[in-house]
Amino acid sequence: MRPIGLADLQQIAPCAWEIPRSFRNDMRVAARLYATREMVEHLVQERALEQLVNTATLPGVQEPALAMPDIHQGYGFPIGGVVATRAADGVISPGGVGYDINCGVRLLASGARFPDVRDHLAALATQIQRDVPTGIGHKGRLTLDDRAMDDVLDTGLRWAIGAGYASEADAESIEERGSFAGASADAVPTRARERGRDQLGTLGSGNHFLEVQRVAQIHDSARAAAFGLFEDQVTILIHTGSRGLGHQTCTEYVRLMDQVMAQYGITLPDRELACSPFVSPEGQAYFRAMAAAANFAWCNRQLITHAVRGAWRRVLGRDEDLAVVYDVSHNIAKLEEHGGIACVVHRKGATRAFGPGSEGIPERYRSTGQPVFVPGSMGTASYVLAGTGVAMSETFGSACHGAGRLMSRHKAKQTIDYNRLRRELHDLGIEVRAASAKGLIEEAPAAYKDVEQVADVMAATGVTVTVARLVPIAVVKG
Amino acid sequence: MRSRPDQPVAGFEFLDHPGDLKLRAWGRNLEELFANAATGMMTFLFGSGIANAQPYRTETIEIEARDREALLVDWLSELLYRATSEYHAYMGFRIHELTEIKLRATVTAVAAAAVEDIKAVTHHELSVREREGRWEATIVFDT
Repeated sequence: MRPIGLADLQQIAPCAWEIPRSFRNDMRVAARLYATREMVEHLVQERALEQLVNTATLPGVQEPALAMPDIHQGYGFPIGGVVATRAADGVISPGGVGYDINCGVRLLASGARFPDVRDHLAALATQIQRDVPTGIGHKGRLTLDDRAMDDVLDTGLRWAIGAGYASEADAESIEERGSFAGASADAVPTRARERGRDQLGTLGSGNHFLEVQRVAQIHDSARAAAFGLFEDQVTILIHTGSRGLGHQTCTEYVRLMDQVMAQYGITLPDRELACSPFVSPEGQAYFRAMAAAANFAWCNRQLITHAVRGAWRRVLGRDEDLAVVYDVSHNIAKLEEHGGIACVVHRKGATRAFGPGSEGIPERYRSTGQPVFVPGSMGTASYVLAGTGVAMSETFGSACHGAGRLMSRHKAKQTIDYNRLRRELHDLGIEVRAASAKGLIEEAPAAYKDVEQVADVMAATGVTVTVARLVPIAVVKG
Repeated sequence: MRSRPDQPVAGFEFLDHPGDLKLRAWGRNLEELFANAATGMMTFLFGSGIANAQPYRTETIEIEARDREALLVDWLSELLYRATSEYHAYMGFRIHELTEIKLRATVTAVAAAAVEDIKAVTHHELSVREREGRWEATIVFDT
């Protein structure tokens, strides 16, 4: 396959580029990328764009196959991609969701301002690290028996409410109300259940983190008010997913699709794109299993929320329940209607960004568009954005999900000095609680693209409106 | 492309990949390649000290897959599942039977605590090939 050069991309708007269908004869639709010229110049040096083009070959893919400005090279699908396929005759691909099913971000809002919290920050960070299991191989406080596991997988947040970990108000502020229609515990492989049994309420490792933040700047006061955000407010961001349960579910369904693909006459440029028709028994089984794993992830973020609320009350003595602003998923496939066509929208490292008036978002966000959270790398800013009508017409209601990795974990370990990094974070006034030095180094700010540029590209294209900028004041990492 | 300085033995090396982990393994024959790939994955997960870890149990693994590439992914996925759900590592990979689509092996469970996490073994750009008398494969992991 010939590599993609700058000349193969047609600039269609200041921050939008297209690779035409004529680029490769197996493409079914054009591929579109949102990025600055500088980002494109970097991207052509890696394989991410080739991976984007590969996704444009999937049966039933809708025009165009998309990449957000935080795109980076993945395996099979690129990270930062959106691929919508026709539900009637298109495919569903586990690789288009990723191994960490329903990895996502939840934002909690307090009623406190930074000065109320400043003197308690070290104690708060320590308490959160104590109450939320983080890092590799750390079990949760709960081990689910078969019946509880069935309930978690089948009903998601409904289980959490029944068990006293969540309120109706929490459910209202989560995609799908935290309970994905069509989820079925029966479709989840036994081994996935085993791998997840003792992991509910755990943060995990890798790029997952929990951050206490300060609202540094409000960009859109009307939307910020609707989201319950104000300047100097203290917020808490939780980034994690479905843990081993999701990883094993994806592993087993990639294997299944790899086996049956030929029966459906599907050939692909990369085996990791393995898929089957959405309406096939295998496609439907995966969709039900993925939805169940998504329920597990929502319960995971809910149990962490519960622990953080406890830590907050204990350390600050404030009698308040931190409110869930919203909970967005950035590794998921959703059945949605776009342009009058029922589509399976695969978002892998991309966030749903439904605009004003959309069904499926909380009533209180119907006039503003849904909140979208874009966490930066550790120590840098995160953004709250809002979905728009442009997103609905141009990106299957989707936007970016983060900063996007620039440097490999391997390279980060070779080039970043742990003590210097700790000092830099300390100098920025950030309390750091990390389970391991390595975990901290791999996620150093220098290993990522600039999140501000990513948010700016999204705003320039009109896909999102920038609402607020949040800066970390404490980071808890696996 | 440089191997890690803490790499204990020849037979595998870690390659640079922007998002994830890429492992190249090789051997004089297919059996050796499969064993070296498993050793590489375990070394990443548990650190190079794993070579001296205390063995305490032997387990049998039997796998069937649709081709050699899928067999390698399934072999590593099987070990990853057992290691992560049982909270221990594996070494001493003895492969008794290996065809295009079938593998039978005994492996030794050893006491070790993970220092890294792997979410999954992917099929991305995977190929198992023979070149100039040695077998080689490159595997991408989601970490």
